[in-house]
Amino acid sequence: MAENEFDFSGLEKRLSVSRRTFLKFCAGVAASLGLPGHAAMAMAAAVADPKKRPPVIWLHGQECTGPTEALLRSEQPSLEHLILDLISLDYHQTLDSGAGHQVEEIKKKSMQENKGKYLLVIEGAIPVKDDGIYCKIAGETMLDLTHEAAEHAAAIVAYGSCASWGGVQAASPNPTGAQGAPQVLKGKTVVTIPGCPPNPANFIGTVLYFVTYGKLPPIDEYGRPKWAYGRLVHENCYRRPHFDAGRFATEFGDEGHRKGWCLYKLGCKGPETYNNCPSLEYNNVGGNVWPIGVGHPCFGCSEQGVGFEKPMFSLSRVLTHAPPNMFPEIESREDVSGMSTTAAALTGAAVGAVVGATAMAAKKLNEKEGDQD
Amino acid sequence: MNDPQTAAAQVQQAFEKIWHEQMAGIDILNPRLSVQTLGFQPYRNRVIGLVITPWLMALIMLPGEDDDWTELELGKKKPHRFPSGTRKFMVNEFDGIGVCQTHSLYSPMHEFESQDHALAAAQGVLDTLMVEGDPSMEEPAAHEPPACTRRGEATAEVRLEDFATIEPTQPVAPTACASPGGTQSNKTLSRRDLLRGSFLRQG
Repeated sequence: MAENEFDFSGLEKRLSVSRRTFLKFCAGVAASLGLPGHAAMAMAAAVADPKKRPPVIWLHGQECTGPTEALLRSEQPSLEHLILDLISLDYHQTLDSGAGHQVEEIKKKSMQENKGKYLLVIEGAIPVKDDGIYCKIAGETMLDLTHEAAEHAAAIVAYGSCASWGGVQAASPNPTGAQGAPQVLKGKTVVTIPGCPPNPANFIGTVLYFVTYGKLPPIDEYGRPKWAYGRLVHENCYRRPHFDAGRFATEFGDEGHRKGWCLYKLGCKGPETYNNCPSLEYNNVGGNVWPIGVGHPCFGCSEQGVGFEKPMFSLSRVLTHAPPNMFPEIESREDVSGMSTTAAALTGAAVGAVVGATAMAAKKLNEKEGDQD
Repeated sequence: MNDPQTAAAQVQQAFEKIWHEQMAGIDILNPRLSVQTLGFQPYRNRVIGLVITPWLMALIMLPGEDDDWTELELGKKKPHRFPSGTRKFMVNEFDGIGVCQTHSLYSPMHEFESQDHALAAAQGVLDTLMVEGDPSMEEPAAHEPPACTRRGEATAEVRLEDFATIEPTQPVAPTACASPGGTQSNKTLSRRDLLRGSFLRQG
């Protein structure tokens, strides 16, 4: 490797970030991953060498494109620059400039040429009912496209809750039989980055790890990278002192809510949701901007069996300290869920507005549920 | 509050009160557990001990005579060194105890089948806390940078000298990164050098 390949002026131009910011970012990512200092160095070097870019095939199933939107809106250094520079994005329905059959041909060509070398990213759920006819791209079902792309992928990443287990699409009554990539691709290792939308930092960290070490980071039984999803939201929550001391907000806008007390009694799912939101917050916005930071209980968007499954403002019931391996499969829960179709739809809509959720939204949802009782 | 026994009694009383008042009837309690304090001892002019309750198990550190913690922001994390390694403590406040710092060990507590079960786990923590530890076993989360660091607004917590001790033998796959940096991987790199990109210019 020639010395001039590490010319930072080129890197600065490509990424539109200063060398200092870029290296600081690498150090931050390495630290988040629990890796030592030389990992930051290795990451910086891997990114600085553009020849190692892995080809990426990015499929979209049933979803709102939220994960891609979140990725494109992250900053400093501009992560979309980093990711686009870091990988060779050969196929992505939202970002491709081309369209139609030409783009589909390019995808098939890239998959053929890069057999066993490309990274497959799946965004969105995969409907399997009636042979998967409820989601088609260029005349082919998402189900077939997923199997086709997964066959020769070097690694598979399910990005977002929909791709991880079905997300809102799989909420009862799940009319299309929506499933996540790990359920569809049984027997294959699928790394999941759940969240609605997922934190792009968790995706970029995983991709950086892959690009640097040529393998995926350690994952748990749900395929989630341990560095990002190893702890309960509750464990690191900045409102923990109030929980510990039994100081709870009991109503939106009451004294406890205004004072920033624990949101458990408003339905916070932090005690059963594994994610690193308390330490990363969301998308580099700053100012403690993430659901709990702005006074809304954690919805459990990244936790299978919690988000889109449990009513948004119902109390978190924790059966064990390690709930993920104790929850029954989503499919077997469809009929026992207390969540009505209307409530599920409302919740889905509310997730998009979760950051701006107000007492009014809470009131409305309660009224709706009250009506049905 | 420098007598560990008095402190233990005070902590016991404060948590009993929280349990029977604020926490009464909430779902997250483990009904098989009750409040218990153990291992209260002096440590560096402060008192440290462990408390088990139906909703949490935590190490609790009470301020020494020279400490004024009243200005500290609730929920902020402070690293404290122990022979076994660094642990982050959260600034906390309880009625009947005042401002203190806690290191959460478990919460919720539903994995414990009985008080004895929780007690055994607690004893395990106390038994190892003051024992000289292997620095490579230190939990990486102790170094997890806050969001402001990720945004590039602060650098103070990113101390690469510390990270170098977490996984000193972590292999760098030669296929993925045959950089000159790779050859230095066993050397501690100063933060200054990293930010200047010096490793990329050598070799």
